[in-house]
Amino acid sequence: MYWLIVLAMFLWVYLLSIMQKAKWMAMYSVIGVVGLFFIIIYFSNYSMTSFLMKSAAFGAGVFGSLTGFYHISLEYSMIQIHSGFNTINLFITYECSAVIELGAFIALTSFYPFFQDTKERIHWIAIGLPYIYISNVLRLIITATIVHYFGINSLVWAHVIIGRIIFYVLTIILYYIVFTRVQILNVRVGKFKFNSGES
Amino acid sequence: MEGLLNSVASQYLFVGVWLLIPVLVEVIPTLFVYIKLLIEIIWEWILKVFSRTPSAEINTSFLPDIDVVIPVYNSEETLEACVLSVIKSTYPTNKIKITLVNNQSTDHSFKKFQEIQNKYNEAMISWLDAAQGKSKALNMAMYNTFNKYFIHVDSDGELEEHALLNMVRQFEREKGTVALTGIILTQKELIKRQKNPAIKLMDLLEYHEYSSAFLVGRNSESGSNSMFTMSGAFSGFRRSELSSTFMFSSETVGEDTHMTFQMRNKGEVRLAKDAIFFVEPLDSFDMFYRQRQRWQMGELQVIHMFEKNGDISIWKFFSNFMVRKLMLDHTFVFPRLIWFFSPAVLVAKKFSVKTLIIIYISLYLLYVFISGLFYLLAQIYLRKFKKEYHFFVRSGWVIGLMPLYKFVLSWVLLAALLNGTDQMRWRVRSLIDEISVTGQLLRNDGRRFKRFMQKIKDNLDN
Repeated sequence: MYWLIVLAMFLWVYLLSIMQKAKWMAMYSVIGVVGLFFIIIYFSNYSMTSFLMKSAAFGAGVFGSLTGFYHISLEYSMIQIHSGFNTINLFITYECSAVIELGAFIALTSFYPFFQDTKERIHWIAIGLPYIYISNVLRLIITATIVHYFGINSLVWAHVIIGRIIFYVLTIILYYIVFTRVQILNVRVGKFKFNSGES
Repeated sequence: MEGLLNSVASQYLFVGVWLLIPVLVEVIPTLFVYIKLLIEIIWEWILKVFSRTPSAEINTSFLPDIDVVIPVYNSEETLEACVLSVIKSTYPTNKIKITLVNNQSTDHSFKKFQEIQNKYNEAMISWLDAAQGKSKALNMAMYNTFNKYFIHVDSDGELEEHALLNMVRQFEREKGTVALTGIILTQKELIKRQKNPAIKLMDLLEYHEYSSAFLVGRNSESGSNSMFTMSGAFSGFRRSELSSTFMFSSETVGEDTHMTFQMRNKGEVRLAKDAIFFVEPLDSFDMFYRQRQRWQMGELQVIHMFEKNGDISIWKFFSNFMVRKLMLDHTFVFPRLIWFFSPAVLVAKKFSVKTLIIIYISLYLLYVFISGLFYLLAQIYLRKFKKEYHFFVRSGWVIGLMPLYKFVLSWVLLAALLNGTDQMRWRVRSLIDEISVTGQLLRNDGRRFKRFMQKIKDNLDN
């Protein structure tokens, strides 16, 4: 299995070099982003996702200990929500660790063609990763707070709908600032050629 | 059983919400547009029914003189039909000054012009020579014409017979309107004649895409003076306002969008709902690929040119429609790219393939539903153009394939965004060029690898 992974990575690097030589920027970026995304997901093993789950639980725990709405268990990456006389356990799973979103952001930032230099890439990664982490924590806090007030019946819509929508909106705002705005500000205008783009 | 259903439902919700949000961003505004236009139609109908004054007869003697400008670039094949559609239109020929502006054609366009001039000597047709580029041709025409309305049409299309009359009447009726864009549809006769079934299908989808983009999309933008792009193929301008612009820009491939932005600052930019211009349908996927890349690049360039400090800040999401448009056309492309490939991760993490398939089918049907709504709405506007209406209704079955077309389009737009770094060209590289350059490099490497292996083999043999 491992040799297959090594071969796939070799092929990925080779294809990237070909696309760069062919000056096919769109394909270069797509292959780069998708390949790196899968590499990150593949190498984000149990200890990495477990660390992310615990970090998310820890972040959410700060608000919980201030308000007393819920308690966290770092050992089990779990949020114990107090609602009336009940206690509801919310386990932070692989999906809630935000590993997919973090991986996607790193992959996109690494191969986005409109950053001026590596420094700018690192700058946005350094801003984006904590931002996604905080957004994820915020999602957990809001979910737990809703469940605290509305009980077990609110779990599905609080967790799956409200929580995810908030997380998604926050992620889109980040993407807009990092990718869309940067491209618009750096877009080239001026005299253009009329001949074909063939090289 | 209940447990199983719950599990499917929660899995569905997990991925469904992620995939549904971008859809909802499109679906909610779409429904809003649909309801808004529907109310408008009903209101206009009520006014018509209860209006006691009979519709006024058109008194052509009061119509103003107009300029119809046709930029010409290697148009010998299509020029006559285009000019003829202007001459034969219901607008009085003696009130139209036709100006053909050649921008460095290399074919026999000038000869064709001479033929046309001899053949239709009742019309006023003149010829100008400009530098290369549509914007330069239009600017030269601006300097050399003077009538109350400046209307330009592409040389490879034909006007519907009432298009000019309807456009000018709308200008005369709406004093605050500074520019009008016509409705662009592709020529149905050419679609019918297309032999290649794949291209024919693409042409039909393009036809329905245009009808919904103009009859619904621009129609709705027109009401709130937020039109992003007037058509570069057929638009009209009030001379007094056009003369005070910075002219058509030669710094961007989106000179039509650039002019729309300038005109919007001067007054209302609206859709001429009864003025249709028929353009040639696509003749290959490559043409589609190039055209859409150019449009996308033009959009980004023009926003860049008009971006003042803080104009496209995320805080302007509610107050500036450009931010919303950018988010839809640009930002959403990236999560879509990730979510196109991430189901593989979910499947690897034991997510149900069946559930994923159900989700994708649901999304597909939702998009068909939205396209269907637009299809119904567009019919109402097309009803008065009998032949067009029949063709539109009969070809409605392609709506079922519209999500597929939009999916391909989204990849073309992604390519346009990511290719945009160094493409200061009007004619961008085609997909075939891109594939052939890459193929050549791969073949070279393949040959080199083969030689290398042969060398190793020879060394081992020796």
